[in-house]
Amino acid sequence: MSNSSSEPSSLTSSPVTPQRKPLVSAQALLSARSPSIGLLSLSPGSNFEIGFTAEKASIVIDIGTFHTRLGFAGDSAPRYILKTQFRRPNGKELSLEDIERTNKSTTSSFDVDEWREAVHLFFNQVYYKYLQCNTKDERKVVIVENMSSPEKFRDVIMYILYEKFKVPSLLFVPAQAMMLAPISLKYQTALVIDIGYNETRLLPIFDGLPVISGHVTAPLGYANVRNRLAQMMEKTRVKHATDSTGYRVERDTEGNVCIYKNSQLVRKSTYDIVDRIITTICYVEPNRAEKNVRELNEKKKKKEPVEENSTFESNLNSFTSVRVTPEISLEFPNEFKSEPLEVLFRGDEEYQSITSLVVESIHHISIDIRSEVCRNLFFVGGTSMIPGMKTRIYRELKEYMLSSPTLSGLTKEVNVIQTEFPANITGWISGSIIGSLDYWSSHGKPRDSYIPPSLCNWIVSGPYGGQLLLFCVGFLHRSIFTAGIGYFCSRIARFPRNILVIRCCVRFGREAAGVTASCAGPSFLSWNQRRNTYTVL
Amino acid sequence: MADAFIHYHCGCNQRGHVIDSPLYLCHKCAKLKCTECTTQEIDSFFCPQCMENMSSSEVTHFRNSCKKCFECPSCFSILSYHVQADISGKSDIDSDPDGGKGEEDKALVYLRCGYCRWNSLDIGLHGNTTNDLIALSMDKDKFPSDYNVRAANAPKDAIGSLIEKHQREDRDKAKEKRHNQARKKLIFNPRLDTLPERSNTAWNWTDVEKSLKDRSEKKHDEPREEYTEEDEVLNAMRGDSYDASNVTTLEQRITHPSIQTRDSRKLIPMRKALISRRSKRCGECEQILIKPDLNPVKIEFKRQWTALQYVPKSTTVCDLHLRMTNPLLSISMLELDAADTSTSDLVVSGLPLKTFLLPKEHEEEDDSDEIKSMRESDTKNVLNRKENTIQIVIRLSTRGGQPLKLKQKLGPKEEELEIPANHSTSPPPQLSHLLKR
Repeated sequence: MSNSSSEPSSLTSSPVTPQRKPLVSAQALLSARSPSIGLLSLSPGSNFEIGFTAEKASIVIDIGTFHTRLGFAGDSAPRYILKTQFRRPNGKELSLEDIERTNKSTTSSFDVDEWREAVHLFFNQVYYKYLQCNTKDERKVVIVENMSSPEKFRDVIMYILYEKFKVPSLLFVPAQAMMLAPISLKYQTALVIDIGYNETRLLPIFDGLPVISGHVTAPLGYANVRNRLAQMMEKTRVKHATDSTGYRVERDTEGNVCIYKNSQLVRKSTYDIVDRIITTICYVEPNRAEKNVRELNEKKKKKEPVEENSTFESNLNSFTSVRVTPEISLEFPNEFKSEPLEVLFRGDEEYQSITSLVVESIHHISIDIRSEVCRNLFFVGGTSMIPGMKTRIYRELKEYMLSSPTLSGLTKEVNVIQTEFPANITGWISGSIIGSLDYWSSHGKPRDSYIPPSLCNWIVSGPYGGQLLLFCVGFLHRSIFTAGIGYFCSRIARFPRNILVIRCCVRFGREAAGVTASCAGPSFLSWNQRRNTYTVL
Repeated sequence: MADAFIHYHCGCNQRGHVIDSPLYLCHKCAKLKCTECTTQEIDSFFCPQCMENMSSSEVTHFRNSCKKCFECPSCFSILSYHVQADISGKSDIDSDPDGGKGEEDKALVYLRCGYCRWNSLDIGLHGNTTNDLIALSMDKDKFPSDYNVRAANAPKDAIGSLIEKHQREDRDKAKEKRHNQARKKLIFNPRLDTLPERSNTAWNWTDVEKSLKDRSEKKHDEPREEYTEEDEVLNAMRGDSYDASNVTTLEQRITHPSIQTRDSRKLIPMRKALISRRSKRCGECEQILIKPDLNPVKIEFKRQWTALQYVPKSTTVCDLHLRMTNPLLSISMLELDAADTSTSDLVVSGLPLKTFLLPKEHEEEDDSDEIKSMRESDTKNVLNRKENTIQIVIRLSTRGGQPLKLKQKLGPKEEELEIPANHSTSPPPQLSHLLKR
């Protein structure tokens, strides 16, 4: 009794010691000898970590075209994966896909006011519905974004987060450049192959340094697979699993997939059914790799056009049933299982398939680092999780290299990195790691330095111009987070044709990672030092 | 033509979009506030299923989810606790979460979905009591769920140790840098210390050479893990008789982001996410606009300043007629005022310039002197008067939407405050609203 009663009194009798201090032992204090230890208290997910500054974990958001991942820095997985949806309060949906598609040509269709409303609603949900944290908590925000995401969209996000949500600091993390963060203990060199919804993006990273000259993108992704499957469903009669009466699948003028039974509409949905089919039964057939590559090469040589929708024969002998809705299950011919994915490999009008992109990227980087990059193919993005995808690319790449005079020596080097975590959350995990490191959170843009875009339009906006410094590629050798080599910051200086130059120069051996630049319209420019040319990526 | 409600607009949006979100009235700055002009704050957390209030420390500990309510991983409906009296028997008895603990030691508590018949026995999630089951669901090894409390707080998972390592490196680097600076100060004469300091962000060739050396050593040390093409899932899928009934859908997969299993038999129940009660404040003066009751069972508000209760409900009877209803218990004064017409599509040709008086709500005597005098003073513009409603004609020649200003005198105080508000109907004439208090 006396013990328990004396405890509070002993606390009150020593008012010199602050309340929090006893949490860290004196020994730890002595051994640290550094004041910075107090700042290093962030640890996975919890807000109750021991330390001088019990700072709340930052919010990490990875806004993809298809899925958005939400969570807190330091966690090993996001709390939520949601379909990306931007809606205005009156219900009108805005499509991120559209602005990304039109991005490269024009951004005139971008209505700032509409987007502000939608983004505000979006972050309202993120804050209060999903992550449930107060704006008063002063949590920092890390946004993992696509390297070529539209600048206007980023402006809107900054406006909403700084002005409405009063975030103390905001950090944009370029996804592809940072993808190696989760595996950085083992790998610092890799070819990041990000197969997403709209595009496939490749970025070689050498010793923690993005080699911008090897950055290539192509509009090949899940969206193509979706469209292809929907097309195929139009042509085929699909049998109902239970009563074998003919169900018919059609697409109406608005692009909705409708299931009819005896010319009566049973079910109408935009893409739910298609998604269900792809995720349950579709895979990539690796055995077609060699044949496909040979065919594509031949066509390229003869300059034959690749037919837009190659015909496929369905023998209608074997079927697989899929429960497309809880009530209806349909039987699909087995050709449906691998055929839709071929659209990624068949090549477009420029004979570009995912594998040819990989080859292109390897061609663009210096000959010295090719073999090491090839040794670590790193697949990220949700679409790469479709069974067989990695194997197919792996085999196709080998075949490509055998037939190519310059790359044939690399054939034996090709290898794929295997990871434990799912590929679709890799980007988020990198954000989570970066968000919990002091070095990176200190590079975020604090609120005081934010100037709303309307005010700073006339400013050649440098570090104070409301635009975030993208310390994207600050890596030093041997440890990925320790140095800023080629940090490119947008809007350091403005070139006549709105070209924003990025300042830092990187040299490694004969590789000229060079100065990277980004246009105001957010396509990328890379300057190859060796060739002394600008290339639009 | 059917009566169309006129939507008010808080005026925060320069381009005058109609915002279809709830409007609030800040009586301090006498302005209408839309959701964008307010700040929110979470007051309390509770589980929408069991309606239990949770403290914020509990919320953090259980990662914003209820500790005892589960959702079906297959169909996302609520799971209920069931008791199987005998393990071999098949009789299921409903039990409330806390009852029936002491009597049967052999009883098996498990979770079951009433809709899709999913049950937790198949994945081995059961216990003698409800508490046993909840404890088991937090077992990291058996159920590595993202909502799992212990798994989340385990410090030494892969990411945690990675972060730790990088933090240590950062710290060492910072220490080294400070050390170097201190040494420089000691060695160099301050006058000579104008040499450009080596930038921390640049590479130098010794570093590169060292790195190359390390690299070549490492290459020989580490045996490469060859990529194996074998893939069980793929091989199963390629077979002609592939059974897709046990494959999860995308929605089911992403419920547990770190696992994302393809096999529906391995699905783990989700914890019910908590919801919150939030108070809203004016973005400018921090005045409380909405304050809910902390008790999740009560639905009344402690403070409630919705615009609906203070601003006249306006409907267009036809597109030229305005009907206004006074919600206040005091007389309101209305004044219609034409705003800037140059840019608008609608021109006001016959605007009543007079001030209208609106009787208070629940006025019993329709023939009181007050109302009589109001009737007498009415001009041609007033079509009709009934209780606290007035119907006014505004002659608009339609070139489009004409912004109007509407002045309202609120309450006994004579301060004059303005609330600009645009509103529009389906054929949108735009009006802006001025409020006098």
